[in-house]
Amino acid sequence: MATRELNWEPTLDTGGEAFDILGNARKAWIYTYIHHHPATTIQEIVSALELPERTVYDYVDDLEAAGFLDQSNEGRPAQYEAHDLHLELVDGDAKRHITPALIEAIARRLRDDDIDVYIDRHGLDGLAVALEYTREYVDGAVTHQIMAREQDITPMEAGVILDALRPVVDG
Amino acid sequence: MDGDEAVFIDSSVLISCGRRESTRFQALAREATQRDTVFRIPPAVYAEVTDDPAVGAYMATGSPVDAAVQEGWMTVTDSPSYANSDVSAVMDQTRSFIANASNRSEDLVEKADTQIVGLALECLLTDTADSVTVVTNDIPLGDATASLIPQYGFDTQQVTWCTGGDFAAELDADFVSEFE
Repeated sequence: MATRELNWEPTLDTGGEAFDILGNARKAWIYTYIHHHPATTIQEIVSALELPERTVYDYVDDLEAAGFLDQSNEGRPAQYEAHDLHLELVDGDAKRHITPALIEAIARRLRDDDIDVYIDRHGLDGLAVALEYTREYVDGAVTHQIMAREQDITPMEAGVILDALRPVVDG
Repeated sequence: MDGDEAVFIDSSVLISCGRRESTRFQALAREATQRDTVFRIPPAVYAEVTDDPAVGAYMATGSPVDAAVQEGWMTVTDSPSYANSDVSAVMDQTRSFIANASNRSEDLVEKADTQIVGLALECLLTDTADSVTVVTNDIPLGDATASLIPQYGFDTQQVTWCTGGDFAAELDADFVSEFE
């Protein structure tokens, strides 16, 4: 599956270059991989993601420059650790939290077609909203039908995205 | 049919099994064989997983539920007997229960969402089964099942609810192993 350029929804489009990670699922993947596996080397990422080494170097450089990653050792090979991001974007009445969980949700579109389709249909804002519902869902505070009615999507689509995002929240 | 267990599968679990060509549906089929039972799904659940306009976007090959029904290990039940006052009452109570649990207005819960609880109670009332199990990933629906049905004179041991993952471990598997 190709990493598609995103159809940006308004709120999450306002973050500027630092939020390039939101629009590039491979970068989101690298960030998430390092977040789950501290002290990761470039070679480990190359093997896990099956991307060209050059691309991984470039992406890691970008993520480091944006302040999402840091080298965690002084020797070679370099090892990286991910920062625990908690950014808030406010655009008018809309407020979105950019967290490691949201970045993981974006990363998962590379492996999970359902998340990919959901982002194509509802944008990153829709994904961020679905992630909030997923937290409520695993806490037993909402049903998939309620999410469907509140978000004006079909119950099946609500069920699909809640199931797809559950590991992000559980993890 | 004394001693028999009636197992109801909710739409949340069927959706989870049907999304992507996974091993989850096979795990469900295996459970049916091992339990020597035919899983029951309410008509509202069947409609939800087969008539949905989003089916095409997410399920390239259509809903696997029809295949399961054809294979004989899943069956679509009749609608609950709304004329039975207990059945109708438990469905109304389920609506309130879900609205309370989710801190929402009752308008956001439809009676069709509660069919599974009405049918489970009806099974016990008519002696169709000695015990009922409701499999759902919607926690408020499961909690409603276990808390409301015993109010109609049944033992708590006759009423069970569990999530898909509790029912068959494969239903909890993460498709994306790298992040586990």
